[in-house]
Amino acid sequence: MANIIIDNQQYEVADGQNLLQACLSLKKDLPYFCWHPAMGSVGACRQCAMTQYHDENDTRGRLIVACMTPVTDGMRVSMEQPQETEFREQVIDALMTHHPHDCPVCAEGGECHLQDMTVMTGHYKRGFKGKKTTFQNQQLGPLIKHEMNRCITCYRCERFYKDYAGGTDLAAQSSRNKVYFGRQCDGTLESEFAGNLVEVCPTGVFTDKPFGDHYSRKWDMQAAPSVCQHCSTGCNVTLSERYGSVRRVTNRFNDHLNGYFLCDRGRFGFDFVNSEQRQQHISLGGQSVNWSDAEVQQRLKAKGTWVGIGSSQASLEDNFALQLLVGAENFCVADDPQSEHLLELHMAILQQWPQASLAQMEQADAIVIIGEDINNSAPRIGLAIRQALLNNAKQQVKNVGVPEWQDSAVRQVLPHNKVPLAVVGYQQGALAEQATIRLVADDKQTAEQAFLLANLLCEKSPKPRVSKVHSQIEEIAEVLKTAKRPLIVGGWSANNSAVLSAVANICKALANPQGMLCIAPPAANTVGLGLLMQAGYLANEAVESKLKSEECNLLVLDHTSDSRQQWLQTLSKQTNNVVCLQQLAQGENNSLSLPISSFSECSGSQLNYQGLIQSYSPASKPAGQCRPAWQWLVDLGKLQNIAELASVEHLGQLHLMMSKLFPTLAEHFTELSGRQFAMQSPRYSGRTAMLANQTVHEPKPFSEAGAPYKQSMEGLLPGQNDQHPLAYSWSPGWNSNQSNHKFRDEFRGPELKSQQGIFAVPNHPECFWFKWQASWSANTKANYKILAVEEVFGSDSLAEFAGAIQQLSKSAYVVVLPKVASSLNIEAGQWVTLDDHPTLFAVKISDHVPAKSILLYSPAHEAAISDGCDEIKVASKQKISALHKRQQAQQDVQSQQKQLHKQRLLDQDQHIPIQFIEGAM
Amino acid sequence: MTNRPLTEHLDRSNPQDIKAYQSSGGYQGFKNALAMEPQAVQQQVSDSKLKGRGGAGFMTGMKWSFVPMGDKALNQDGTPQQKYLVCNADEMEPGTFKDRLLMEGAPHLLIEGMMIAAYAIGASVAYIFLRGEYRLCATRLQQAIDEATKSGLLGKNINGSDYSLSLHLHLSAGRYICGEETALINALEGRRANPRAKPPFPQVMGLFGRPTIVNNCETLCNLPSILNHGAQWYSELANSPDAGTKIYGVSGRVKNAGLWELPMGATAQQILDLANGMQDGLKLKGWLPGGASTDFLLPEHLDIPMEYDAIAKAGSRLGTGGIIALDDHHCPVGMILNLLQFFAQESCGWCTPCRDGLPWAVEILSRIEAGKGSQDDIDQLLKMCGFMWIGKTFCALAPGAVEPLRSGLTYFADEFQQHIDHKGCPYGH
Repeated sequence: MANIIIDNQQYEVADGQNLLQACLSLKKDLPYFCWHPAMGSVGACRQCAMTQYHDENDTRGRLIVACMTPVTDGMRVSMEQPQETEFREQVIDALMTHHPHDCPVCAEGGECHLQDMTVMTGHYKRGFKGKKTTFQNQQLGPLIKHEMNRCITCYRCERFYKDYAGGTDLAAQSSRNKVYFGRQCDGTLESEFAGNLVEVCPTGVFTDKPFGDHYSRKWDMQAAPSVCQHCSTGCNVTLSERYGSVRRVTNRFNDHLNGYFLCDRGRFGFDFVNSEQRQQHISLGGQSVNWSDAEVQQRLKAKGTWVGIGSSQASLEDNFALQLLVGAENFCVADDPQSEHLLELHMAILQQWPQASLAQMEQADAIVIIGEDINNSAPRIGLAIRQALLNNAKQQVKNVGVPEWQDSAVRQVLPHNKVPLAVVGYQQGALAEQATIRLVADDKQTAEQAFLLANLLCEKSPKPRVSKVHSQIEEIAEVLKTAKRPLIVGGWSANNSAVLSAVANICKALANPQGMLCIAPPAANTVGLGLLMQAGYLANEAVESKLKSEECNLLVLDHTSDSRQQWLQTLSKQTNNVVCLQQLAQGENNSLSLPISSFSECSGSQLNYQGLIQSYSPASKPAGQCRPAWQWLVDLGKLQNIAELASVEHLGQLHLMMSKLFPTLAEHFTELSGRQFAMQSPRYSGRTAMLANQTVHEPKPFSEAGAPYKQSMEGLLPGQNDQHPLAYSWSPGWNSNQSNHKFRDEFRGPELKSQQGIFAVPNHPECFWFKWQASWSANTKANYKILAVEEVFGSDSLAEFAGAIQQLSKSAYVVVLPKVASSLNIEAGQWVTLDDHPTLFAVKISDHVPAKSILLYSPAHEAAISDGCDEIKVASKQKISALHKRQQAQQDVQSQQKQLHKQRLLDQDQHIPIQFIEGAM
Repeated sequence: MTNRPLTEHLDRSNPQDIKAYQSSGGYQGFKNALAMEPQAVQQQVSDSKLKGRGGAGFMTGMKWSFVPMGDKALNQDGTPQQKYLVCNADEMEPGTFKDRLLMEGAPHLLIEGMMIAAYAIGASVAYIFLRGEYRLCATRLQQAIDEATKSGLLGKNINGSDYSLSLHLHLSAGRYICGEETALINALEGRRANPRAKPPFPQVMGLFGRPTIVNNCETLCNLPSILNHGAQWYSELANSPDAGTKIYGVSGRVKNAGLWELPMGATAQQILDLANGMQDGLKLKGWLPGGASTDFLLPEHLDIPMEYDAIAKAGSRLGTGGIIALDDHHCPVGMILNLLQFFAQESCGWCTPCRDGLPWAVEILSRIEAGKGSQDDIDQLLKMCGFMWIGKTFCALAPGAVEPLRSGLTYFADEFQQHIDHKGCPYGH
């Protein structure tokens, strides 16, 4: 700790931080622009100027910028003296010489850091009398809107995009007061983290484009603390709602998970909740029906066994209610035997090895990624790993007495101080390109080599069938032996259980208590299903035979994947009674489907890749006949006289029942009792007016029984109670998300605080070796082994219902080796077909493809393809022109839908359905 | 022994080739250095009291002493650390053209100087960062580098020693800010030419993150004679607290603008006399002692010795020693505007006061010069001088740019006032 004197008052602050961090952590209002807590200091904007004094007799002092000044014991500074306050005001005056002052029409207005800082410095009168510069804006794609005139040249966008996230297509251009931040020419931003520019930019240069299409001011939106649904990381997000539609997702700070940043799939994928495909009414065979209709009742009360299929896209509560309803022995957790096996294995590993948080991963000093495409399966984790690559450079600058938050110094020495990053497998992408050790191998070779790696590290580790160790593996073993905090990353991407087993063995072989593990499952609540699995389940392979052998009814929790739809089609041939709980209408069949609330409309919980339980609150009310799935299931239970569900009226009771089964959850479910937090800001406007054209009555604020929130302005404000999540980040004078520092320290310190929260999967300290299984050694007989790869945009079936994500999704492609391409006489960009498969694939050529294999990406909503193919053929002209026609038609439909969608939402702003206002049916 | 160590070898029309240079004593300094320990070379340069000729006047020996040497300059794996020497030949200061003379007239002198400096700090790679427009310098330097490489003076195991040096010529893409050593390093690395934060200083973490010395061209050209004739000889060349000789220059409306090598501490009057005084009918109104980024001095200061401390005492800086003379038929406001336009254009755009303050000052000065200024504008200009002063900006560009402005506002206050009172330029501009 260091004692420092600010304006003649003494404070004790943590060592190692800069003066700006210290002042913000002391909750002082010191304005700044270029500094960012996650990106460190560069000292460009000069906004955080203070004066430093030699001693108590020094009255003149010397102007310093706080973000570049380390705190030292006994330092004496001032923040409120005229010399620095005048200078800070001048800085605002100067950097606003070309700012258009267009706050009323700027999407940033009301949550603009520049507005806040301007007010904070007291600047009110423009000094510059000259003309303003006008820049040409760029079209940056469907996510980000560009308005360069508002730029104050803080360099944050470039530093985030290029330095932090590794993007290559946005940079500072030109010089002097003509510095321009953009791309070389118009075009969609390539980085999957581009959306963060919206929050990183202190003013309105980069704004959220879909949000801008249906815009509302921050203070007018009801905000709910929520959890992202688009991968297993469990990033914390804030949902904002007005007039019944969810408008946007913004980052909700979580020190150990997402920190300050989200990926674009998470930020823009939420829009599926507003999709035109949302089902709002009970339907039977495609026709709207009512709950009380005889046929519906007959279906719901049908005799025979009810088989339930859970969903990794649904909440823990929904799945739990289904499990209770059908009984654990009839509760199926996976769409195919392989996923079920992976889940079993995953849970076994999770019990043995705690999984590192993202903040912990950022501290790694050696990283080995085995068979996982972490960039695409869990992009935010990929971003965290990217930060770990800086650790050696940070140490290097510290060695010469420069603090590690001095970002430019760290990046100067980065090229020859990289943290070793090994990538084993066939996955492509940004991290693979950064790899210092890379071994290209198919899934089986990856598993074999990983088993061998474990064996190199510890002789007791079981060996696979093969014994040839690649030199890269030997290199990795050496790196791992000397690393202090090695990180091993694996996951489900390769769809191979041998890879998971190998990763666990490496951890055991390492025997390093500081070692870290991360295994990424595919969906937001995969681990939640795994938890429920512990209470028993019906094996996937047994479902079909069970349906065949006895009179069965099928009860299905919504999942949007293509494989699920295909499986259901098969199953529906075996039973006449299929009841689906659906949020998005998919497929036409004879099933009865009940419309369920999305995550933005009800409370729920899910387990992230670590088994960390996180709950979300609804930002809006369920529309139409939508209800939370668990509520339908409870009602169904009551119809069927299921004793466990008979007395359930609200979520809290389900939580109690779950806590009995899984005692670790109890603490999580009880910690949020007490006073409720307000979801609307004190400045929320139109509370009594927004519905006045329809009813003079002000509806009662919607709230679920026992829930910790209130959809009103009443209740706890941000920061009033640490126990509650922040519904929105706001503090007097700090309207933007930068207000975050009012609720926490802006300095993490050398020692990372341990992660808060409840890990639902109990840890069993005893762990065992996973043996190599003979069945893993089988080779495909096809000419080419097909290795599936993922894409951030396109592989998540849920996000594909969001308009903006749809626009970014790639069409199917294959990646082949150059020699394969030349032997088949195909070129990059050409269209090919595989065997008899109807899909056309664009050709990419890369050296990083395993021999005798091709990499294949097909979008989530296109039929999957089998493990191997024999023939790659150039597509016929007819097929290509048919594809182009199809694509064109698809685009037309998309843009038409976009218009309709926009119109519907705008209409809804004028006229909210009354039942929707009142919430309950 | 010569008393003009910088220009003794100089021939602009027909510079010496390596043989001629060697036969007139060239590369002797380097040979002497190679026979010494690197630290001893550093010591000799320290003893000579040589100060950097780029403008800041920092002791060259002391600058070198911050470079980690010997055991302190090892990589994590125990191998010796790569170090770099960079010659700052990006001469872009308005009114300054001394380095050009040296490089065009005596390319081998610079190369020998660089070899000595590189040896002294243990650098095995050196770069000349040359102003892109200096095409003739580039041709002659490259020729000299090739000659030196061919004769074994550059390359591996020079003169049979353990010491190796490769020297590269790099042509700048052209920004004034590249004269700032850390911006130069960034530019050399292929990054934007923005200055770097200090610490870390380049001596410890410079080019490609390695220990690096950036020395001005003229500074390096002093080294051969120091190593050849000794530190004491060198420091005794001048009858002044500053050692050695300096290439002084005059530009502006004098009869004979040019450059002269004189002992440190020569007076501006002496230099002006060498230029045969002002052109007929003109009187000296003021002068900038060392390039555009120094404060104005008046005719009454002409007898002050042109040395670092004395000029500082008079309220300006010696800078590059390239005097710019302002005559009485030329509008001082116009001259200041011209200078500020240059600096505003050359701002790298990194920090706010420089990026947005300089164009602001230009905007005000343009209005004043056009007769559209008001009293407020003078106040605002004074404020801007404070706003862009040392400590408030990221590097020294803006404070340097402010120097002629703030001194001009003092010395030529009447002229500024006339522009405002008479709504126009009294000089008819």
